[in-house]
Amino acid sequence: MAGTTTALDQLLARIDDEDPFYYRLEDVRALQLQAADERFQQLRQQMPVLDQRSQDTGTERISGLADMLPLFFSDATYKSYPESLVEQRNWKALGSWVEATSAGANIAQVDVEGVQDIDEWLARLRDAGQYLYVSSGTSGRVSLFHASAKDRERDLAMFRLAWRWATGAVPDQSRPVFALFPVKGSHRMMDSFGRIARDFGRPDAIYYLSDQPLRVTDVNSLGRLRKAIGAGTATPSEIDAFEQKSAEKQVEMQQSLERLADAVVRHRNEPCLFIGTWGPEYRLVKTAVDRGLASGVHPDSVILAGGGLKGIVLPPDFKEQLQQALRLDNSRYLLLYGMAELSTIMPACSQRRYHIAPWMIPIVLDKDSERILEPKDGRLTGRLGFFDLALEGRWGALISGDHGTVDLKPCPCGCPGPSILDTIVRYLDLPGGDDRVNCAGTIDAYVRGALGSAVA
Amino acid sequence: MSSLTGTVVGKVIKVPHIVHGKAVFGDAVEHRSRVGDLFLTPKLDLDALVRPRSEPGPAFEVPLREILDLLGETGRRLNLDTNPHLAEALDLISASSRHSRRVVENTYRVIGQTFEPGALGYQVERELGPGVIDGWVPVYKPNAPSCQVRAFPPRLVHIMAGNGPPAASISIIRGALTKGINLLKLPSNDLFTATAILRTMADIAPDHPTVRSFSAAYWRGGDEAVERLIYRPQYFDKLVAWGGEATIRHALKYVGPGFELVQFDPKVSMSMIGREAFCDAETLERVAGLAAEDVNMMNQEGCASSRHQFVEGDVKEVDRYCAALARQLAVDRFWGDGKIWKTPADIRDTVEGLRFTGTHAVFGHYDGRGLVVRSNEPVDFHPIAKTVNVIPVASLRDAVRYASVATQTVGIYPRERKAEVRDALANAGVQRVVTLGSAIGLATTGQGLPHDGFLPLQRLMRWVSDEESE
Repeated sequence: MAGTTTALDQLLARIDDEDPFYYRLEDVRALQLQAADERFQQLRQQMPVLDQRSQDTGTERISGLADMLPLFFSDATYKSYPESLVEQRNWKALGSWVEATSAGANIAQVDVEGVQDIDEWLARLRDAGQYLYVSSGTSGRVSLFHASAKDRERDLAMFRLAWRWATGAVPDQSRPVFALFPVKGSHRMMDSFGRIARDFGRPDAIYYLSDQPLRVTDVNSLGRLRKAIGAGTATPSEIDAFEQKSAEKQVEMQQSLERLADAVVRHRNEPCLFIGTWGPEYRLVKTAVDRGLASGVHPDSVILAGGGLKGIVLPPDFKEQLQQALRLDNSRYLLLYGMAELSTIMPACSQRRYHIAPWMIPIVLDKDSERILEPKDGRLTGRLGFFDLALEGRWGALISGDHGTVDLKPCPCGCPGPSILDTIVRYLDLPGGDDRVNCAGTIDAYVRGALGSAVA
Repeated sequence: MSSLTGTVVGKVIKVPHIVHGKAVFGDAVEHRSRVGDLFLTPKLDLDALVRPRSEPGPAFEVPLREILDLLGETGRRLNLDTNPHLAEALDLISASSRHSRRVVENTYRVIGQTFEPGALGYQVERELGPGVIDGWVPVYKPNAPSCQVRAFPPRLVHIMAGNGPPAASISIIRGALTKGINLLKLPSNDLFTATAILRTMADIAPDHPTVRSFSAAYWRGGDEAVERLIYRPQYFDKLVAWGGEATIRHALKYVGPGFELVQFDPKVSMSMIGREAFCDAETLERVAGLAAEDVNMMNQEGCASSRHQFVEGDVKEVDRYCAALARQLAVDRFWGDGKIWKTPADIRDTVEGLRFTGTHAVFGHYDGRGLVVRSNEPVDFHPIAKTVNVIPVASLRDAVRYASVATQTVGIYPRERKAEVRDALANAGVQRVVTLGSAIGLATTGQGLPHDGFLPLQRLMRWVSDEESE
């Protein structure tokens, strides 16, 4: 068997195992490194950015973790396109950029004649079978990355696995679904979550937060306005219009939540499925309580929650409040950790630790991402990074903005594989002890206002 | 290490406070600096740090002449080779600094120059007018009875900047020239320079009223437990704040009737290079060197450090300039290192992506020798760590639209062309136009010339009138 299949195939085949998370790291490490090298050799042929990096750092082979470090990207890679290309509708240059930062994308051959904005561009590419995902950032700037057909297939398989592993839920199209995201859009979450919603949901009872597609153009408009204010070209009425539009969106959002909350109350005696991120889920459940959800939902209901709060302010005990309102057992929660730009997700076990699949190599670095840390008592604490070996449409070795602890020892849940403790924080939110006063500034400092609240 | 100013015990540094001119040592409070080093300070005695309004400050009636004498002597004593306070501050700062010891040492070698009494006397006269700092001066308004005006000493609390010793000397000099009461809030990125200067002054004349007019202490910037108690008009007239957005936003909470903010805003700077740079290869290299000088002050960590450069020429010419600039950035300079820390990963990864748009070109290296990115429009990221964004323009006038209220210094080559754009730049919000290569302007900044768009001494004083009627 091993003679004919690659290390990569052997690892990725484990997604069909009964419990892929049940493994000992020392048993797969050699296979992981071999697979990492296979992925590297394959993608450097296709990704100019990766090839450039390997040349610049003199990295020809991966035979250990240390060889991998210079090949890790920061998430800035997928946000590195100049915003001006979008504004000037320079789809050719934007396409070249995508092709350089991804593998197997064929953008140049797609006819983009007459395309007016980035949403149209993404739709045109999608029609031609080229999937580009976006993922939003708090700065009003979205990352842009490519997913191959195989990547999308594995993405769905990964979510099915996580549901089954954490909650026992299976995709039988039987449950009312509360999907806390718009029905359509280029966001990666919408594709992944949307397919889950249809996979698990009863076709007549799938409720989306919005029937309007989420447009990248709207997300980017925040960035454009910030830029215009910085340059002094935005007029007071433009700022006012933007703020009013944001306020209207908030009202619409509340109305949608009320519509969903009423449905939650209606379906409270059936096993349902909730899917979204913490912020909107908390708001939905609060609204449902206000509208008559008195004694929780059906005990076989399941809920997927996770994601950073991205600057949204919630009460410190929001998770407890949510749990009290739903009255669901801990085993009904699918808690996830992952990076938007990676495909492989990490579901939490009964001990609230996030488990790492064998086709995902975790590394832990110092704050400045300069060195790989050595384990102390089997644990590593620092900046988290992952090489997602499953990805083939882009490079899967990324350093996160998160600080956390990886335990290489068996988890108290009984699983011998590596896990991440429930102590993950963004470096941005850490008290940095930053009391450094400097006369140098950025133009952003001159852009005042509550514009940030407009980010969905 | 000897224990004059700060003391290193293992990795723990002790930072003294200065209370009315006297150094106070202690290790009651533990703090952690930005780089994670532990340091200890005495307990903050807020009652001792403020002076009641019922009594005038010690230096209120001291003639300017005597203050200039003290400052002049201080300048002479701020000699790195003979001054133990300064030598120790240098050791402590360079131990935790990202800049090379050579560059940090250079900054210490020049601070004495900023105390030159002739220049300071000129500054007072130019900013305030003759005599008003020493007493009541008659003013003659047409068709009005004669009145008198005095520039009265203020009560100031300074939120200091820590990017280089000159920031400390400028705050102390201005505070001394006002004759006012000064409380300096030490920045975590320079806990030593201000106290070293104040202790040098105390060594010269421990009981001098100007010496007794100064206190210096550390507390975490924005610490409400401290700031809500002392940022009050009962104790201070003005908060003189340098620095970042967070500092200013904290400070704004306390501004109200009787308590005013004088702010030196966080700024960005740029360069404009005319087509004259391309007249021959030697000139191009020299111009790139001047531009690198303006980029590489304190390794591009200053407000006057150039980050975007607009070059008059076609892409081919501009790329030649970029290549020359990348070479020049790698050269050791008085104010900057030829090689610094690595380019931050987010900038490196962004630039790696830009290579493939077909509209950008990249010159230089990610290893700290300097990086140049040529683009049609300014890049979306903020260039730091010796990263320069070069944008070709058809004419210098076309570059004016990239200047804004956030722009402090614009360095221009050749000098003859400053006049062509300076009104348009000022209109856009720019505060300072210099000849390329002179952005540091140590000898000019603030000393009788505007700083951040105003005359600082004039803003710091309290202007009081004694009016006659018919």
